[in-house]
Amino acid sequence: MLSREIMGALCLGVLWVTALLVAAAAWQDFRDLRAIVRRTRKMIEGVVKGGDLAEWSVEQTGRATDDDAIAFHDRSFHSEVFGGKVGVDGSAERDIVANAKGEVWVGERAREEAASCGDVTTYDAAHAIARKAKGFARTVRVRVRAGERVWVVGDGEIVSTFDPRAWARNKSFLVLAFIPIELACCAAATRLALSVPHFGTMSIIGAVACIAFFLGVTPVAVALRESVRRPNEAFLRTVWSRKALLHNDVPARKALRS
Amino acid sequence: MLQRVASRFLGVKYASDVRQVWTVATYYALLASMFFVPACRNVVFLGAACAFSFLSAVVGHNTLHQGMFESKRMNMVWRYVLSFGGLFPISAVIPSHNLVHHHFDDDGQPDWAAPEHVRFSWNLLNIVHFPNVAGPLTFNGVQRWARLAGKGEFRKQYTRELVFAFGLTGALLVWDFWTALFFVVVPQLWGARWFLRINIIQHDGCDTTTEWNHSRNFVGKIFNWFMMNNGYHTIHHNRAGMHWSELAKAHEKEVVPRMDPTLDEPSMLWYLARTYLLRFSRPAKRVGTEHEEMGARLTRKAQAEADALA
Repeated sequence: MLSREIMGALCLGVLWVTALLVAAAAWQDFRDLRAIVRRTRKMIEGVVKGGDLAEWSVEQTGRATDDDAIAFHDRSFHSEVFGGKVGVDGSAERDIVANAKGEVWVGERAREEAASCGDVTTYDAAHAIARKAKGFARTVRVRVRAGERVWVVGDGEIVSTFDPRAWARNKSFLVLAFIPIELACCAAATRLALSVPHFGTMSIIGAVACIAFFLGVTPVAVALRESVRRPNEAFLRTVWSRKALLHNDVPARKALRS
Repeated sequence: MLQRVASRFLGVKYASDVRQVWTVATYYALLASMFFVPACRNVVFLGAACAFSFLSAVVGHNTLHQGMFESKRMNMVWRYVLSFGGLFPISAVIPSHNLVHHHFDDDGQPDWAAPEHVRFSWNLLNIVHFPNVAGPLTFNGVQRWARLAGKGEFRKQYTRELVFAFGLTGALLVWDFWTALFFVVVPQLWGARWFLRINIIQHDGCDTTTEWNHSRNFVGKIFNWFMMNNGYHTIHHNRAGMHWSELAKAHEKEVVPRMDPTLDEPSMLWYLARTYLLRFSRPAKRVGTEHEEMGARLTRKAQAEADALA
């Protein structure tokens, strides 16, 4: 006979193994982010001189949705450092060599702007293709151009339009904060489940909290993991909504009404 | 003879599918026994319920590849039965397994259940942790896929299965909380999580870019009787539409002459012990050599996508 005590202990054991594994996986992400921070010790900051220094791009497929929108799926990410000159401290210039394997990190706003739709005419043309099985294929590109402030790690291993060290530090603190918070939530749910009298009402509330934690912590952990993906491979996944376009585009709305 | 009579009575397309009905019925009987009869709340019943929960998910997998019943309505009802069994909408298998996993590719991005999503040095942790990553990735992917145009019916069915699975489980929890938690929810989650883990077991270390060496096969006869031949995984990937009862013969005929023979494992238990208990590190990935046959997979993928979008 399996008593409630045995089964309760077993379930709490599984709960804690899961919580600890989620924490350990987060620690792996933390370690990766600290490695980026260490790499940025050899980093320069300056302004791009001359032509384009680098390009980030993502190939996407857009597919129509039932709520009159196009949802884009990221197929593959590409980065290329073309090479060029970066002006450091006003007068000095540093040569950046071309690096086909270099990572190009561009800001979120620049990516979103490059991926935005523009107008209803563009949307309608794309939507007609997006309704078909193959979808609407496009490449979103962002170039790091002359005059832009950049941070270059190593010999063009990372070319970024924002401070990579600050990014990696912020993300690593986020991941680091997640670990004790996650374990504290698990401990709180466990404490509640072990309330006296055992298997009483409070204990049931605690068990419900444990189930909620068990089912909820992994999606949160995966979302966190995706949020700390290296910026050159961070998901873009834009959605073009006709409704939103019409809302923002008064002339287009008038033209459609007429 | 008995099987043929039973298959007519049940309205299944293949006589062998009686075994699938029997598997799920046994699982439900085990759950009911433990829920209603205190004497059945023991290690034997719980262990059997957990094992049959996983087998019930395997039945779900087979059913989503090929409707088991003649009647379309019965196939839909069967999905509710299977959804409660694993506490997840079984229709999620269509995008996650049929459309993504079978091609090891989410339209350019990794399969939601790719073994590479876990990366502990201690290999045992990889198999234990795998569902914690593959599960959310799968459900996020299913949500994105379900949003697309023409998936209205899928969304309705998915929601109904979700409501049925969680509704019935919730009702049991209200009726008798601890019994339902320990003897219904535990087997449900066990089955669902091992159903995800089977992906890492069958593909970790294999070269998924190859035509014949992308999967590990478990070829034990008794194992495959209970598993509805799902041990023959290479042929299942390459011929997703083939009925499970035909996989063993097709494996011998089509896969064995072409595959790396070390990917045929006589026993899953021995493989698990050898890979996750008797060694610390993760085995190195094999690199295949027969990329020239990739054309066949691309053709299959195009066909599957066309079928799904039709």
